[in-house]
Amino acid sequence: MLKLFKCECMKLRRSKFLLIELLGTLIVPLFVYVKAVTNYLSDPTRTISVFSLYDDALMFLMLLFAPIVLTILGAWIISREYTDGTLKNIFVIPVSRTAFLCGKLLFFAMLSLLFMLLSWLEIMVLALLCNCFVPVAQITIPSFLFFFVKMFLGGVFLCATQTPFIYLTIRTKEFVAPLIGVAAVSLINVVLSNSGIAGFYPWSASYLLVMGRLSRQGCPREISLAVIFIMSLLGIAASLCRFQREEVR
Amino acid sequence: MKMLLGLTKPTSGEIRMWGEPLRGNEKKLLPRIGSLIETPGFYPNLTATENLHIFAALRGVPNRHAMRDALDLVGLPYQDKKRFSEYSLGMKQRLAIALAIMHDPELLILDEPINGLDPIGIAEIRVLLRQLCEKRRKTMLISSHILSEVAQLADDIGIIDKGRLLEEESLAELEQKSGRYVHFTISDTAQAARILEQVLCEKQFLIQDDHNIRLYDLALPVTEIVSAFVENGIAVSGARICEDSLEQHFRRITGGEGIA
Repeated sequence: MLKLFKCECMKLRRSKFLLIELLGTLIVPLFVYVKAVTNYLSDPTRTISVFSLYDDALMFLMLLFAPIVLTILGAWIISREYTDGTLKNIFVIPVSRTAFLCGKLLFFAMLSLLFMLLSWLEIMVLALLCNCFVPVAQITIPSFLFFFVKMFLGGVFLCATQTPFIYLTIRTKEFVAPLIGVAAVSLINVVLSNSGIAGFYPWSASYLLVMGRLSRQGCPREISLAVIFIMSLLGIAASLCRFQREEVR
Repeated sequence: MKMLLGLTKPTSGEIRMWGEPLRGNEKKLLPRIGSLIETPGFYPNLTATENLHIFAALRGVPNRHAMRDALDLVGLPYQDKKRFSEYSLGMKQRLAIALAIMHDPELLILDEPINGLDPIGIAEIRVLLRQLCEKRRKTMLISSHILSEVAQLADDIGIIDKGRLLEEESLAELEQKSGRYVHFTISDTAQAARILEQVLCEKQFLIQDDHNIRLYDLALPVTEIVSAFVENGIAVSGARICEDSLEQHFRRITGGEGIA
């Protein structure tokens, strides 16, 4: 498994895709800053705080931006093996299909965490820079560490809720279907995030779990966790089953 | 070929290699094989060496020099900075062969190794495959639609049409057996076919068009056949003994409908 994981890292060399993803992590932090600074400039009594910056960033990331970016990334990691025609070289080694897919999932999990932790780092750096010009409240190590844990958890949940799109990629061998799927999911996320059933919808439940707002939505935490866990497990099982039956044409 | 490599599953039957069934023994048998299936598949953002490095790592190739040796043999530079996406089709094909031989397999399965290559590329790959066979003593199973190339490379030839193995013989035997025929230029081939079947009890013939027919059984004297034709009102303007190319033999064996 470690060997497969290392190979996945090697495949990224000179890949523009990863660079684009890393640059993509800047979008939400910059957006929440622009929003906060604009609000401050229009009403200087409204202070910018680390908590509000991270709260906004987590909302935009977990409900909208990150699912789409991570789906594209996951679809690319898998579909490139089909489009580049490399599976026929890998399966004849032979490499176990289960191990191969697990290596990909592990690599994808690492990228998901990297995505969230980079966003966390960028918000922290921007907060420190911004504090030189506009006062930013709660710039303390505990507050940054508090949100480090939240962003890390967000990465774990985001990764777990991506498994249906991984299955869709294996099924269709391309980007389109998973991308349409995640766009629909994100749209429903926005609609449901404040409703009573948000805790039963795995993608918005992840956000509410990270933010600790599940009780406010009236859904027991255990049920939300179970929904996410079952969906994630089903996604992995379906992906593995499909990949096992995959024939190289 | 994909079935031999475990890439697709057979709908029926069993594949045995070196006396053992492939199913269940993939880990034992597949490392003994090197393969190139149709178009070369590599990561476009990586160089040849980087690509080979990935597959060597997955394969657990113990010899550190294996990659350099394989690239040397196919005439590609080691640790070149050119990416796979910038390679010509000939270079891609060479890299695929380097991958196939990197782990020093006993058997090479090459599916259309000269597919899409220009005449120079075809000649280069032909020389390379010959070298592998003669210098490295590799056994090769090659499939190709370009029969003239097969005739220049293979020792044994199998003709497969619509999934059925129609003939399998050494090239020498094939040439001896199928090489010669009598070509008749006549006024009516339909009438001639009837005479061959009914009068001369001959079935090994091929009608080419309204005026040309080939007879593959040389046991019958040509004069006797010409006489039979003339007696039945067929004008014979030519009768000569010719030699079949592998392609012509293939057409005859498969019924002339082309390669399936």
